[in-house]
Amino acid sequence: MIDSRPLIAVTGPLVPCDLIRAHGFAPVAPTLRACASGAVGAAGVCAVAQSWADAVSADGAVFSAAVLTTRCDQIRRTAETLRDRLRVPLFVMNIPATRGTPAAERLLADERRRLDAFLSRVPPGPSVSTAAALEQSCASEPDGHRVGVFGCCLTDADRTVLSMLDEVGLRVVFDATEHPQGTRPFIGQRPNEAFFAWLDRRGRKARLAGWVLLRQPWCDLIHAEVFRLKRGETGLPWLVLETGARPTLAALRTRAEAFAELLEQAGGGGDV
Amino acid sequence: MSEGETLSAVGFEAWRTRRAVACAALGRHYDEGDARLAELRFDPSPAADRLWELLLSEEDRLAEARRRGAKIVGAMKDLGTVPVMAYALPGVVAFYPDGAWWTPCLMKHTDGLFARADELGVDDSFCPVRAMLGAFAQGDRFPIPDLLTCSVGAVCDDFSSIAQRVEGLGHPILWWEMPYRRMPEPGEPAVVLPGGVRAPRAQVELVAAELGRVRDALSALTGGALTNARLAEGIRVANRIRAVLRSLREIVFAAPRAPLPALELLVAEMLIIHFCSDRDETEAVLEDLLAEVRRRVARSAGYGRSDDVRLFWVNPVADLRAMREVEACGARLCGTDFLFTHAFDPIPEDAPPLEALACSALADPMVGPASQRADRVVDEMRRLGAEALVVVRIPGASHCAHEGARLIDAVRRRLGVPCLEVEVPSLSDSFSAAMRTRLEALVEAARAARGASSAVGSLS
Amino acid sequence: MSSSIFAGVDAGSRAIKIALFHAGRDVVLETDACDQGVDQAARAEALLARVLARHGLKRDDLDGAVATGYGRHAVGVARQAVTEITCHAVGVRFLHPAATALIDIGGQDSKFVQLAEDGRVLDFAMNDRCAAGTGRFLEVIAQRLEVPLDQLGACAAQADRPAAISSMCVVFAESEVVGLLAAGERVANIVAGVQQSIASRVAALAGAARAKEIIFTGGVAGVSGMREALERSLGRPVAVAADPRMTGAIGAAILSAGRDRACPQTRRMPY
Repeated sequence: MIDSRPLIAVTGPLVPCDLIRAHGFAPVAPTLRACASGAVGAAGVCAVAQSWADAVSADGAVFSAAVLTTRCDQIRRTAETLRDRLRVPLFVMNIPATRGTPAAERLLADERRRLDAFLSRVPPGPSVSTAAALEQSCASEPDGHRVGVFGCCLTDADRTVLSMLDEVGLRVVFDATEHPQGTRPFIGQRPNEAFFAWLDRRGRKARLAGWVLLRQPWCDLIHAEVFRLKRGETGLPWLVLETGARPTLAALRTRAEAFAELLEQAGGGGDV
Repeated sequence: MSEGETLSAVGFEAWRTRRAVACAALGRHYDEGDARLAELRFDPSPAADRLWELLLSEEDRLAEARRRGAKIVGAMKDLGTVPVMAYALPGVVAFYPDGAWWTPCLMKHTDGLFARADELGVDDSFCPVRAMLGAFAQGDRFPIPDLLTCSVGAVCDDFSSIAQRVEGLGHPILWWEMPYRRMPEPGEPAVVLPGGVRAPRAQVELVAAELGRVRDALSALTGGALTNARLAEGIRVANRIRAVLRSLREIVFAAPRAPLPALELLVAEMLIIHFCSDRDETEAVLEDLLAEVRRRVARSAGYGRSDDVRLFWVNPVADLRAMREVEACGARLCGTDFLFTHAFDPIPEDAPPLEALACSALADPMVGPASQRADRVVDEMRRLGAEALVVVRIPGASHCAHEGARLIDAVRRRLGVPCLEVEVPSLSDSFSAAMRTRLEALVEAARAARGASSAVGSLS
Repeated sequence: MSSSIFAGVDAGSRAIKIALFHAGRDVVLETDACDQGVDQAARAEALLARVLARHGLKRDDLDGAVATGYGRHAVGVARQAVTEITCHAVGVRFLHPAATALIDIGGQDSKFVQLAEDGRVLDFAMNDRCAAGTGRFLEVIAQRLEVPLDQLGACAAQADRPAAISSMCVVFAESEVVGLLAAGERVANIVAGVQQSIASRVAALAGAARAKEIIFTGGVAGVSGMREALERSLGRPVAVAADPRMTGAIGAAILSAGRDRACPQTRRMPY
């Protein structure tokens, strides 16, 4: 489906894309070019956060505004510096880390109202034709080992890793990486049992043989949970690949091949 | 003007010879194998002895509290709010499990806390608070609290994820929401928080509601209602203690020579977060320290020289040995921001208690933009005549990667003084030399800016 | 008629190792190694030819070969490539049938592999980005401290207080060591600290895995003091593999046999 509306760059879970559309904008997740990120090599700075900031502030960026949700400290702090150099309005939407409390519900409602007011003030920029930019595509009829992929937003560097996975016979049939749409649980919620339950459910539904985690260096929220993921809370084996802005594909390939061998031995999935 | 008595911190053996009775905990820890204590140097006053005794006997106090049936509250992440509430109830002891982050430096045998965290997949790419996970996993550092609270939301990622892992070990946590503090929008009702920053009233009300849940949990824990009257009294006592610490800091910072070494000042400031599990003793310790520094200032006694470079120090260090380098490099602290400056400001006493506590909590510099923290640092540096800035980068802490550059940029632009950002590892026996080199270079730069020709020397 | 001889080639970062496995007799016939080099394919071929010649064999006498290691896709001697994770697992289980985990520390990487009861790989973790958890670190420090590698253990045993080394990078760790020497720290304490630092980093790869039988392989397994350092970090017994440098090549050879269905003796392997 081709959309043709002014664009609003979004990132983070729980973005009210319906509200953005209702105001006549198209929410898009910009292509994250981690390799070009100015923060490559800056110790402690997340490549996803930095490349999103670069994408929305780049010369030639065609966004009318930018909206992000406060999923993590990295994105919150990146937004602080982004505000200084962004030529279009920026909205930082406070999303609650807690769930199910009156305060969490109130915060979401208040922030939605605030976003509504913000969007009504955004001057419409040029309409841009985009494919359904928020769709996540996966292999349709794969052979090989059926795996799901999890992580934060995918960068261009991550996509090279996904291609490599495909080469070694790991077919990504379910993409659980962060997506602005939807209201699914996210790993930074407190407590986050709902996230693990969701991951388990979706993994079973997709008949996965295993999961692949594309982990950004400096992403503490996901890194801290690798132990629980690998311990089997989802019931499936996990391959953890640290990607970053410049993944070392040779090293990651060894791990991916070893994981394919592991799945082969376990009898999971199809033939390699 | 001639300077009075020049004070010297004493090494462990010298301290032990004179002071062992007064600070039994220090000696006992050393005898149990905490050899790193011997690398510290101690202020030789009875007030400092009492300070170290308070700090190093916390675990004993917590164990005693458990034995006598007191309710133990572990207040995580929030720096100085929930303990104020907890101590308003009789029979409650509150402590700060996050404080485990610096025990491995002091206590060699708690190196195992990091190893335990490693086993649980929380390695040294996380900040030293990971020692807390090790402590909960081992279960032998402090009694498992009867109630664990943790603020979440606008908090650093590594802490949030470590706390989640603690819950995963089987320790339920009362999570309470701390929203990212934003500027009020035009026309939006706003509140001026302690310290001067503004926040939307809606955010104050939200945090107050969350603290209401904490209050309810505390009440349920003890069976006693945490009424507004009790909260108000708790706030009043906390403010009394905060006032003592404010006075202590002001006197130390303004004195011609440092009347208290950097190390003891850091430890003293840390007490305000949770009163080190003994609110009354914390007040007494701070009163003693205040009296001691007043006496020293009156007789012009102090560490180093009056022309020592005045340093403003941002962020605490896990390895306390780094603090002893301040005096060794011809400098002294003239201002600090160890991540909890909001805990020095008075909690409002003219507002409903929960709202007042919410204002105090929201004023946390870590909850809002780094630019506001930078503003406060610049203002303090200007007021206190700071000649140089040290920003410590805490290994693995998610906020440090972004904040340090912003702080330094603001200070350079607005004050033009030399700045140093340095990552101090949690445990490194060789880091002292590297730290000293950096500090000495900073001091040299500050002296050059001052126009002084005297060389940097070791003055302690 | 099948000779039932299979070859495993481990093209590592420092050395190329070869093992010959007789599937019919279920024994390792021979192992050998040579230094790595620019033309690793030629080196592997030459090494294999020498090893075969010692048994009166030629290339055509081989029933199969598997390559592993960093250079597994570059050496032409084998038709199939299998990762070193899997090959080390197979090799360790062949030499130590009760093994439930292995730790491999080579010159430039380290890995932890957890094994199921039947020898399958259950999980693995690798460090091939940071030299501070590898043999390279030991080499650099040994050279700096002027202590031969084979005396590191004896030296560390004299430590009264291992120095805490914090750097995650071997270059900066070397600077730390220089600083410690300048501060008058004893060489024994520094050596003990370095060994402990490596062991701690590798133990972190193991996480909370509670393996009963941990086998230590790789070139660093032969460095005195390292097994003890690992045991302290893991809090569990660690045994050095019977042939620590060769477990990858042995595993590769066995895997090659396992994939040849004409060798029923290898059917007991789960591959």
